[in-house]
Amino acid sequence: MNILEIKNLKISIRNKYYEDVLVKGVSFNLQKGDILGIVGESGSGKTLTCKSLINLFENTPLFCNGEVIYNNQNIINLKRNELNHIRGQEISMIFQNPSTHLDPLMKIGDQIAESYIIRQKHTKKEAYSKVINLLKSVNINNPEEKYNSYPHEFSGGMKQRVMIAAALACNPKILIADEPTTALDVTVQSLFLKLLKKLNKDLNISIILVSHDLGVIANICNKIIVMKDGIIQEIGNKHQIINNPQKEYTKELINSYSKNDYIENGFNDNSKDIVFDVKNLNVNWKKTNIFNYFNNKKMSNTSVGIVDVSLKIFKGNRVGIVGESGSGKSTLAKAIINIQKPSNGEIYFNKNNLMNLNKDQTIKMRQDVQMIFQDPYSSLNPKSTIRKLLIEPLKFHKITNKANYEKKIVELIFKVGLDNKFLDKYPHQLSGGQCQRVNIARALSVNPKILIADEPTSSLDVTIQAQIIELIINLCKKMELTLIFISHDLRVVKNICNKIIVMKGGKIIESGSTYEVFHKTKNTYTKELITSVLSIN
Amino acid sequence: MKFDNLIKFLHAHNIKFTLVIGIIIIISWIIIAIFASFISPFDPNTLYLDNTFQYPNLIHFFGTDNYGRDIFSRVIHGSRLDLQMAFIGVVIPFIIGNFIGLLSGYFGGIIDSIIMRLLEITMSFPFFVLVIAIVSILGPGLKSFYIALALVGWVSYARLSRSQVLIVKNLDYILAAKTLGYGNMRIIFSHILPNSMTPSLVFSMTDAILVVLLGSALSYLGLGVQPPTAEWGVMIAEGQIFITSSWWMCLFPGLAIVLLALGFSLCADGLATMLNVKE
Repeated sequence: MNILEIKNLKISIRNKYYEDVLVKGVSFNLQKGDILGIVGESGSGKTLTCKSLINLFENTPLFCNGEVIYNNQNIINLKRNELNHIRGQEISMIFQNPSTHLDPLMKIGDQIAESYIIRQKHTKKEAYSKVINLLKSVNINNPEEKYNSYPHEFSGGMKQRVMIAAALACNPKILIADEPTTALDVTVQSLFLKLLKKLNKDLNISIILVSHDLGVIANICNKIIVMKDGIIQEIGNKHQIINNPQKEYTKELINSYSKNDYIENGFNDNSKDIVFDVKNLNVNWKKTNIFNYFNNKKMSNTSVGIVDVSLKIFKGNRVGIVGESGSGKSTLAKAIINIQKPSNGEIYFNKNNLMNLNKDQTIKMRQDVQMIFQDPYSSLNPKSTIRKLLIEPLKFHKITNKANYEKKIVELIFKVGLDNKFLDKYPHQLSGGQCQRVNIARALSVNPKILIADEPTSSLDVTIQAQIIELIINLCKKMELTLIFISHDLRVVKNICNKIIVMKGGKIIESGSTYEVFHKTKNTYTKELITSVLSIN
Repeated sequence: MKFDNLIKFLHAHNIKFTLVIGIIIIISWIIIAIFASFISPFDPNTLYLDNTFQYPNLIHFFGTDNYGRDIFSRVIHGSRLDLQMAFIGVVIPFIIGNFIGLLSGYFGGIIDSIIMRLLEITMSFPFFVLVIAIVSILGPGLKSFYIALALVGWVSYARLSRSQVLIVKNLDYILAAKTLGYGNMRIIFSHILPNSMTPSLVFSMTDAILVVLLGSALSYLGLGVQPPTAEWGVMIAEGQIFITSSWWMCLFPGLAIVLLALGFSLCADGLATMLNVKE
């Protein structure tokens, strides 16, 4: 039975001078009890399609036409007060970023109770007991105690569950979830998806799940829509889409997800070839202000980043550092490249202590070790052209003489798969993937021996992710680089690295070759991480 | 055809029409100031005592004052001093303030704490009162006016620039610059400065108006430029006694201040749009 029918939905952005069609005629049906997944990269119109289902376009330049039929009514033509009966009570929505969608000054319980009191005219006492039940059903422990907490006391995953509880408060028939797991850690993500599935079964709610991550979609949905550039590429049952994709784009998407895992067994552990030797490294932060300065430690707060980490990195290896947010993996990388001062412990680079490098050694080290950052946009100076960005390190490290600058940067830009048209552009004129390629080119310009990549793909679309990863692997092989790859995503690391280090709470809890970590797992947390890697089959 | 290209150029560089008009006004004032002795029909300081209190007419466009001096010539010659005040009175605090703000924001810690406390001390005095106090200690005149502005005016620039530096220094491209081994000075001047200067640049335009007004106010109080020098503030002060009978003595120098201020404020508005490079 169709609970929601979408017919030829078009969404455009309009002003006096032009009209740009963003969603170009989308039609699909939602059946009762279904979990429908919409997958596509950024800009494919998936979020807009969802927003139009409860017509969230008032006071925006967005304009939609077509039909969204729910209960024999076309939602798009409804007036505001008619819409209010549907929003929340019939169709509910949860959003991507749980921390910004909760009122920070209101108790968690009261935020959920609000809809009981206003919408369903319950008394406060009734609402309280309902909220407690609801919090229990979304797996929050001690709901009586948590009722009185504020959002900042909750973790990201808990906040997202509260958001669901608030969305479920009015017993909606349809739940729309827009990228609900993107801001969550992998282990939390898999718990969250299980919860969605359970709600679907217990309450018989139809769910529309929007994500850029095919793994998330394939994990719980029974019907999948693939979108690109505002057009539905393919629509069908999960098995049909995954096992027998028809369109080129769908195939590419599936390939980039399930890129065959070539786990390379074994790695270089010749003790002559140690490049980095980290011994008992500790990093913690002290709050400094002028009062603490005179008060000497009495008032200073410390927070801990890394605890007693020791590791050796050998030449030619590709090492992956995995952990969830706050596990200290980025801090470790920053300590290794000598940007973050350790509070305790020693780091040796080619047998020199990083703490006592003289000026020449520092410059040599800065040339040998290069880093690629997470956000491709913010890691390029917005006021310089690409040409200037690439020439600056050449000049500084005196890589070639002035006459060869142009030749060298053209060579670099081709090496990362761009061409010399890009040299005179500014970073904001480039796409995320192109910016990341420029970042890689800049890192390679000084002929480094070690490349550290800090989540280089996590802000990119899946198909582009795959391209960047392939580029990094190829360059590493060609230039015989040692790679340290930091990621929260085991799936990505598995494809790239031959050694894996797992971190949690600032400590290394497991390390070994990729094969060992995956097949002879010792630590329970690692096991949990591995099981929460979503596969599309 | 050429005009079309110009429009396209303006559009491509995000240049608003207000910026163009603002720049035209300021440049016209600069030209007037440079060629003041050619443009003005009379000497600004010669007295024609048989020719006092003339209404604006075809010989004396803006009339004459109580000593028979031609007001049109005095307004034109006055632009030299007022533009000089707007320039020096802004540039010195701009450089000092930005430099201090950069250091304070970039290095942080104890340097930052000391600079910020110093800044708060300066800010706790009312701006005008502090400038007047310093000028009266040093003795009236332009030189003490500039010194006073340098001592007091840097505060706003330092604040603006520090707040920007605090944002910029944590962005990844600064980290990238560090991993490439660049020294602190290179990072500060070629990576942080261009990305943190926009707000203070825009503010400097507004500040230029304030400085001109402050200079005129000080002249009016007798602490700035001394009569008989032709300066707009001085002229307004002189004309004040006669305002009921000879309104033109105050009106025209006043209009000149307004027109210069308009130029600067249009520039400020246009610059703010142009420099905001966003996707």
